[in-house]
Amino acid sequence: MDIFCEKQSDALIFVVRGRLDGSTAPALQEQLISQLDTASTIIIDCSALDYMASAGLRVLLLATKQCKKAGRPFGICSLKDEVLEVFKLSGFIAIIETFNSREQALAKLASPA
Amino acid sequence: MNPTSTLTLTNDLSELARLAQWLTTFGQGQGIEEKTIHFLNLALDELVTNIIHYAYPDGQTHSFSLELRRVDDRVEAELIDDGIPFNPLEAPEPDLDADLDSRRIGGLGIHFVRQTMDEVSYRFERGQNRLRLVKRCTGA
Repeated sequence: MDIFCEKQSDALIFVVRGRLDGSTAPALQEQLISQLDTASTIIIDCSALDYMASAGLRVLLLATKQCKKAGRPFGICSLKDEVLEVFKLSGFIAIIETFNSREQALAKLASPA
Repeated sequence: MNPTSTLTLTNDLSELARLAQWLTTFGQGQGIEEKTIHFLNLALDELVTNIIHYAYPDGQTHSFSLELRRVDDRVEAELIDDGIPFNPLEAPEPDLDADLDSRRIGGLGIHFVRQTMDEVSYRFERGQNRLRLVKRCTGA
């Protein structure tokens, strides 16, 4: 799994690539949680994420809760079918905001630059 | 009868990548469609992660095995470990309707197993946990 951070408008975008499972989720947790308060909006771009297990959902749930507490918009975009399936199975689709594209996520969550 | 493929794993999280690779190779060799392999991977990932985290509290290196076999229109998998006796199917179902604040992660892995597999059974036999999964192949 690789993680890249990009700044777009006032949002910090984490691009997660590869497999998010019990062995790789701790690295995402470390990067994501430590940087949550460095931007006014947080978006996770999953366009290159091939696979997610419950360990990955755990990190996303943690981040969602922390952002909610801080009043910081948080969303996930561009989920591939396999990952979307896991979101549906877990019921997370109802508690974490998901968007079809990064543009949609930015339009909804970020303030105009 | 198709031969059984056996993967020997150790209790280290880095094994999850090897498991995924092995399942992909198995699926390609047997002409099983990717969606079926994805669900098998998801279920086995959760169960193997459980074994790695909890089955061997002594902190030493241990091996356990995964057997996989294509039988007609289905794949049969059996996870066999000699760790502490544990039936993951006794775990309570997660509350999928809980709102964000009360949502917990526990039990989600087993929920995935139940949702994605066609049969799941557990037995403890001669000092071994044996968890058997059956997944019917769709369209393959």
